[in-house]
Amino acid sequence: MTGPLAWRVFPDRPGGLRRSTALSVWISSVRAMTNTVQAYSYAGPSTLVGDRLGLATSGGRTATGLAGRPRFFSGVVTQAAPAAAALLAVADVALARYHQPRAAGSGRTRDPVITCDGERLRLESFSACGGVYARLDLLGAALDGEVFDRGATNVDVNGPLREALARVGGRDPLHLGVGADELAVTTLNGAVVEKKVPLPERWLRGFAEVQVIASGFDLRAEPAGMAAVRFLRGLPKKATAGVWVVPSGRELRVTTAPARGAVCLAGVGRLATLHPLLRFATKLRVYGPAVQDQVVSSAWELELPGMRYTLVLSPQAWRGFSGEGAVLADLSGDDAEADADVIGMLLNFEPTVETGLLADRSGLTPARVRAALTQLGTAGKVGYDLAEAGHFHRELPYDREHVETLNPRLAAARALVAAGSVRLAGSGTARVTTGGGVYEVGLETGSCTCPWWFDRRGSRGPCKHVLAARIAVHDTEGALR
Amino acid sequence: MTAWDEIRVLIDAGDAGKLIDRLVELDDHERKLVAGELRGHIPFLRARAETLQQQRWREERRRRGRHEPEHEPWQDWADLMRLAGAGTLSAVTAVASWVTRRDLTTWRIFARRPGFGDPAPVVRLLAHRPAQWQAELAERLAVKLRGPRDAGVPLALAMLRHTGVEPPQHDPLVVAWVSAGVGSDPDPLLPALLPRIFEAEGVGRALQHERTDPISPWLRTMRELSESGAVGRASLLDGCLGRFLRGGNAQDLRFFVRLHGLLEPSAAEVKARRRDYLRLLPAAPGPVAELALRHVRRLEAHNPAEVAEALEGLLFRAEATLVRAGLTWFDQTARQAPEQADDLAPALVTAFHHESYDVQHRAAMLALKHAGRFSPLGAETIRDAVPALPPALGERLVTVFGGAAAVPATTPPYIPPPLPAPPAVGAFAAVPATPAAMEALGWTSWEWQDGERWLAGFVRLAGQDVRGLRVALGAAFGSSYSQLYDMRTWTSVDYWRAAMARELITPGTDPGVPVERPEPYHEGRRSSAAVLFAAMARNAEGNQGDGEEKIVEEDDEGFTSAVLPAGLHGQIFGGLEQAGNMTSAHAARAGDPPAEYDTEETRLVSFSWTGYASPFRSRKPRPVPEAPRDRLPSPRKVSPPHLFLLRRCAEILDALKSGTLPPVLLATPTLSTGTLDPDVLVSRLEECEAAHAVPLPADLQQALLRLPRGAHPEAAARAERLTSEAGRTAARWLADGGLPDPEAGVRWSYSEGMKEHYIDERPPAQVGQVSLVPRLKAAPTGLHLIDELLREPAKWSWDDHGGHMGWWPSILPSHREVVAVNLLPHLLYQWNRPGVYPGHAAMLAAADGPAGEATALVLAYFLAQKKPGDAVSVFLTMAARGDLPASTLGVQLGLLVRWTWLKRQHVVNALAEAADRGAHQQVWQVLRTLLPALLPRDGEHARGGLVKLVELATTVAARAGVRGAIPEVAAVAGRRTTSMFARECGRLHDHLTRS
Repeated sequence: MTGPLAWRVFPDRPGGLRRSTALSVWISSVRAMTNTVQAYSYAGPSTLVGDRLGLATSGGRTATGLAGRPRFFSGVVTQAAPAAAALLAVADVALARYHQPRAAGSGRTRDPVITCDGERLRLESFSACGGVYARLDLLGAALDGEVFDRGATNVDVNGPLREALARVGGRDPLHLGVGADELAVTTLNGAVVEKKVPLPERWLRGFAEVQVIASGFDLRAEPAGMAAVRFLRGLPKKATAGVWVVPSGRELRVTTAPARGAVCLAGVGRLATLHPLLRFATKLRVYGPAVQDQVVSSAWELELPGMRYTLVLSPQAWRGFSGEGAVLADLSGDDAEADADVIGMLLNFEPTVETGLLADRSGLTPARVRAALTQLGTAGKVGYDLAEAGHFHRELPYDREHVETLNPRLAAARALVAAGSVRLAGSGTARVTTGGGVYEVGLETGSCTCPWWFDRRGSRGPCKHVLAARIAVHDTEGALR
Repeated sequence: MTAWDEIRVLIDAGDAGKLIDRLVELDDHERKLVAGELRGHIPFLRARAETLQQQRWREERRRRGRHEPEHEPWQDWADLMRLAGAGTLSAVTAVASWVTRRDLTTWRIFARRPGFGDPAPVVRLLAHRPAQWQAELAERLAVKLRGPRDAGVPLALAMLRHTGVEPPQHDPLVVAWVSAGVGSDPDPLLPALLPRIFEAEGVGRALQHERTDPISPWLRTMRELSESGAVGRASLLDGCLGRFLRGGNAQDLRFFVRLHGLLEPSAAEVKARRRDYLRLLPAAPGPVAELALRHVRRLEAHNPAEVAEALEGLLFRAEATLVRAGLTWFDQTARQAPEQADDLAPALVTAFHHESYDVQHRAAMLALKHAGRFSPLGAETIRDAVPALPPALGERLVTVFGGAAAVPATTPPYIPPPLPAPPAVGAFAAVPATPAAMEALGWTSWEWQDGERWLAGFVRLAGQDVRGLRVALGAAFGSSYSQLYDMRTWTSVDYWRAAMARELITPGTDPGVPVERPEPYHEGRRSSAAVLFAAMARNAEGNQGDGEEKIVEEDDEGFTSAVLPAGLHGQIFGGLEQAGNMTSAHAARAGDPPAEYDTEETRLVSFSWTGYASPFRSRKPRPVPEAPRDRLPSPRKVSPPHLFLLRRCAEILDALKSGTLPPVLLATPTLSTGTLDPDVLVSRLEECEAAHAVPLPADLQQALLRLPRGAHPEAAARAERLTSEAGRTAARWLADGGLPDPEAGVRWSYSEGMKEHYIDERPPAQVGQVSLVPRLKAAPTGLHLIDELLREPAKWSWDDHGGHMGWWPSILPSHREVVAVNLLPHLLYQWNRPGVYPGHAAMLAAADGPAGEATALVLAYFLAQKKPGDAVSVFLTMAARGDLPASTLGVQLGLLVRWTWLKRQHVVNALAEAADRGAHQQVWQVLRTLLPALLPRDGEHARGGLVKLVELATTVAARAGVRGAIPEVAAVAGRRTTSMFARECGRLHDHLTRS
């Protein structure tokens, strides 16, 4: 059940202030069935007055601890027009629902997340359908100003701001402020903005897991400016069309069947936010996992002057990232959780997370560090930067306990193990007894006789029976040791 | 009587007015009491209403009434319960959720009444609550809305109007408000919600069908409001522009584009918003950018920097019309302010990259025209961009600006991959060796391989382990096909399998083919009659008035409710009885005529009969046909390969009945394509001979057809040592090289003026329905079943034609063209018939033998589909094997595109994909024959989309490195036109004739 939406700007009043200043309530979430309601509380709406763009922040974790309205940055954006257009693109993704669009806008936009790591600003958003992830990285070259703190938080995006951003021209200067003090200048009456939007579990999990999925991608093609434009303009007009993209020379070609080195592009309409940015783009980078015979996720990154705009698409328009099960193999081990705690402590919003360095500091093997990063990724604590091929520290400013809730499939698997339903049958098989019958799991192949596995054949990761069997094997081995 | 009882009675009485009056009078205690009872009462009322409605429907059916039933109080229960809750629940939240309860608002069965869900009574009732309470409720109801079709919309809007409260900020509310239409009265919500239509997501989409001519309601309202001054023009204009800036696709913005057009902004108004219009040029959807450009161009004296930026955005756009307009603007600016030419150079060169040759040409001409106005810096910008232009254009610029044009005919950067290796042919899966394996095969098979394996396993095990096989088949077949022996023919292999299984389990169960009894004509057939008659009534003045027409419908089971005037009664049923179609008993039961119609003036208007049989047809007994000896269908009714397959089944069943089953079937393949190893065949023959068994004729002939092509002297020598008739036949066949390739192919025909013509003899004047005429001429082999199989198939398919098509390629694995010819009747018009699928084409590709017109046509058909992925794989397989009939394929593709509904664009896509996947040489051979077929002849106009085909041909020709002019291309290339099509043909021709 989703709670009602409330979007009100009301004059400053004691209640509003109290809510905003008390850190203990910086995120208030009301759990109802599987949905949580996220309440954003901003000191005022984000505005663009004159050339001063003030992005209002809601609460989040910073390098110095939890903050109600952290202040990250104040300075000049050297490339005004691309930055404004890319900000709009991020906001558009947050607003969009690519699969089964609603007749009336729901008005339930989940605000973008901004991360400041001291060198750059990253803005992330996730579509309402849970299948498209967008990130704008404003790199050092595009920013000239002062950093106040490092951390991650939500930023308010509203209609008038979008309008104003669309008015920014290439020759206009743009001064960007992220955080409270900027607003003191721009807001007239100090009004508080509060928004409440439902935060479905699958949306949140998808947002977190997309990082883990992206970390398995390789660069597949890198067409330069006009080749990228030709390719994107030449895509089928039908938004739901699905194609495969093959690099050929300096160009990209579209085919209907998978081929070696091809990148799956399902729902070409989901790349719509790239189009307004094309005129600034110097390069398009296309990423994908090692291709199999099935539809897979892909990432599309536009290189803009001093910034990068990245879209990650799920394998199908109707498939959100949450059900992909890409992370389950790493999570089912027991060590991952403990390792993640260790690694999590070592992160401090550094610009890049280096596996080797972390391994040295924590004393863990690089493989365990990577598994721990997966665990942290699903908990919304690290992101993945494809261009730099590295993780970065970013804590999603949502109810932490909620983000860390186990993946339901993994939870079900643990429950099966706890109930003693797994019987290792030797010769690499296990029998898992459930309410629906007894299923046989092949441990080597990771296959199962359950209907879920029959339908998906590994395209969404292991089923709960396979996971349960693996956990049981792991436990047995641990006991023997 | 408690308050609740009173309310309940009032609800049952169905009077909203009285209920409201009573609800208002309730005191607090009574309210609480009633509110507590309401929820539990809903299931009761709903169940009662459902029961009563069912009763009513039953009654209507019985009376055959066609009148609208009267309204009854119980139908209103949902509305009245809504009222009762609204009147008694105290909390705002409780009322809000009560009045929007789904079971009360969407009770469709009873919602046929127009007044259902009317918010007026609820509002009237709620008017007794405190104003603050009402306002809160109105707000809450509004915020609950999810979309324009939400059942809560009428009440939410009514409450907002009634309370006058400021509507909450909620996009779906605005969408619902505009979707509800323009009210006739001045709408109190208008001032509050009108500004929000420019902000709320979804409004544009809801109003996308509003038009200006004739003007639609919302646009008219807007115009009236702005003309009367009730809403400022400025706010509407700002709203539209704000909406454009916020973005959205063309559909979402269409309404606002039309509204903007309706407002006709003056130059001063545009000037005040100049910046907004300029910002729309680079990225707004086409129609919006067009509008912005039109208005911007009306203004004089732009800031040069702004013009440069606007042009950069505009000339970058994909739409050629906008870019052309941008180039005109550039031209004017450069002429009027030559000193700005340098600033505009970057904008101009973006147009060099445009897709359209026309745009590129124009941009290049402009660069030449203004060459003198550029400083060295500007000239350098242009020089650097020259390589983006086509070589010919680039050369012209190079002469002025220097630099280098794109090198013409650069070696294609793309190196196509090698052809993928064709899939390997696997061994045929093992024949079941145990009863358990037979049981696992089940009682029906989808794949032909399983069918073959079952037959082979059956024959093998029937000789080795009858007892075990009986048990296994008993388990597998169970009680399948209980009507098996009642059928006169068995057209599916599955029936034959079931018959074999039953015969094996209980020998002699088959009672024989049922004798066809001539049925009385009407028996078991339902029909119905409709009689229309008119009674000419006389009115008071004695004038003959209009006749009243009455339709009587009857069915032949009853005739009970017919009410026919006596005169007509005699006319109709007497006639029927006389014709022998109806017994007098039937006629007598046809009812009594009503007195008022039984007049002289009543006349029969029409009598119609629908059903399987006409009542006027005589019921002469038909001659009893001779009982057939087996259940094979008539050769007329099935396709030749299908019949051949059934014959194999029939002979196994016969042999089983007569106890002459051989120990092994000869024809079971050894390869997954259906091919049979000659040595294995000879071994099987030897086995039969050793067992003193006579091989079954159809089985032997199938085995011979499955031999690989060519002579097999070693196997023949082995076979010659056999003494049986079958052995000698096999030896001869093995030595002679098997079946000579029949003459096979296809001709395209069409009918015009009741006559059939061939397209190659007399091309049709227009595209109509074509048919494919299969051609198959085989010399007699002396083996009569093979000769029957090689009959020429019919042009059309009917009855059971096209059965077991998946099996066919394996019947003739060395003669795929024969199989393809048999597939042709099922290729084109397959909407309600068994059809050919890409899988069949793949099986043809895997098979052996010459591939001619028919094979090419089957493949061509699938290449011309929207999703040609599978067909492209088949193309690649055949290309890799060197079996592809490429030039024939081009011809057939040309015919398909020219004379059927299949699209050229799809063919282009498929061929492009095949070329990209390594088959460029073969694709070129296809194009070589396809191009002449599709290029316009003298005097014809080129049809759209040909450019893409010629482009593909140029690319593929370059990749394949081929030479040699095509006369049809040369003819177009030589034309004196500058169309893109002619230019592309020129490029192709240049390439082909380059030495």
